[in-house]
Amino acid sequence: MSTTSGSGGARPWTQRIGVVALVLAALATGRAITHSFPVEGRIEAPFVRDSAVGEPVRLRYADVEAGEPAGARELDAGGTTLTSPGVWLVVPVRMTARGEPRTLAYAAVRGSDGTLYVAGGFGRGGFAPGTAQPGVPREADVAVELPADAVAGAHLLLALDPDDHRRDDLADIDLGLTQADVERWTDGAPPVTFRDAADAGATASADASGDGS
Amino acid sequence: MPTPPADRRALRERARRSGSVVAQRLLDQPLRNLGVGGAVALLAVTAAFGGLEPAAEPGLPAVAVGEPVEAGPFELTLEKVLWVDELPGVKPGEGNRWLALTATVTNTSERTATSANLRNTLGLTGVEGLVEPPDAGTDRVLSSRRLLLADASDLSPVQPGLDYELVFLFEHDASLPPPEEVTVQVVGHTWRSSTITPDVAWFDPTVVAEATLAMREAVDEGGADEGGAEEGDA
Repeated sequence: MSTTSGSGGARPWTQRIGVVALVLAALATGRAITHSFPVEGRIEAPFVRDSAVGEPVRLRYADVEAGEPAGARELDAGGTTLTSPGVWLVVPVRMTARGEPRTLAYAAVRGSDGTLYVAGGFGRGGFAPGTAQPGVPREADVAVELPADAVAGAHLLLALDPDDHRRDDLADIDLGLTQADVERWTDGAPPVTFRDAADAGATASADASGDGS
Repeated sequence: MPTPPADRRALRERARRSGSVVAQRLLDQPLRNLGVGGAVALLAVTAAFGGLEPAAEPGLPAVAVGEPVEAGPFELTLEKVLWVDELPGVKPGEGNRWLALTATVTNTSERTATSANLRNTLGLTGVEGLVEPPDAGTDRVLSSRRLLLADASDLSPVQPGLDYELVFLFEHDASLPPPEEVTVQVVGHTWRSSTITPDVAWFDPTVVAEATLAMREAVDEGGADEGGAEEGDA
């Protein structure tokens, strides 16, 4: 075992200060580099796959496709009518899992104001597609309420994980909504229907397209 | 434990040989001086961050009925507080009644809020006979249900930018007379990362306003409960 006791083992104080200075300089250099070239956001960003209504988009874990969105002040959810101070937006989604059973657990609408309106797994509206078996198309609705002035230009986002989208595919689907759609939906449109999820072909006969717009 | 004299001498010798004037001076000082110096340095640091500013006066801002209150992530406007034995489709437990506080709530943040966020944002204090236990570490009892007046659904999630008119329901022991007034606390939170986990959420509950509201019985007769609650001694 070495010893530093006594005058022979002690480093000169200039050497000690030099070591401390080198360590501080290394830390400062590292900080300056990460501050000047921020790459963390790009490294951790999801792989965004753009699409539009009626256009299938291929994700790592599933193929997904959004149908025609519908909207109204009221939502018919399993026989219960829910009234929104804004607008209910319902988007039918068709998904086919790839490789293994998948449960898409994240759906949100990014309004024209940039705000994310997340469809929870339960509560008013939401998105609860259940598990999709590989190769078996499954259909589910996304139902979200949002302010009327955020609807035109809104996009639907879909992903596998409810919270963590880092370094994984995320579908970004332009819903093609206009101000005319909003005015029609807020001007006495009948309630829009929110269907339970089911495998394609077994979906309840209720029409999710509301007023057909 | 005090430094033995032999060690102290060796320490002084090493400081002398190192040539450090600062080390020699420090070793020459009695311990009492070092303590005073440390205390002065500590005060200087705290002063730099406002530690010597006058302490805030105790007490909370009062809130009036109809006056919006910012309580992150929500803006709340209290309206009235009533008691009722039961509501259609929403019955309290056997032998209990509802204390109902109506309010308009808007999620003013940029993200969807949860039912738990909403529950944590408002509570009653000092009311005898509330069935729910107080929120942990406080004497504030949170609501049992939060229903939209428009359709009687539980408000969850709470989307940003929408003005929801809802009722906070508190279950109360009906064997006791209903309170003549209740004290409402509005609680704000801060959106930040957890210090333990990677989670980002609404933390740090802080009471931002308080109001004492008069209580009335809810009745169906037209207009009988209009203005049922008035601002008390908030």
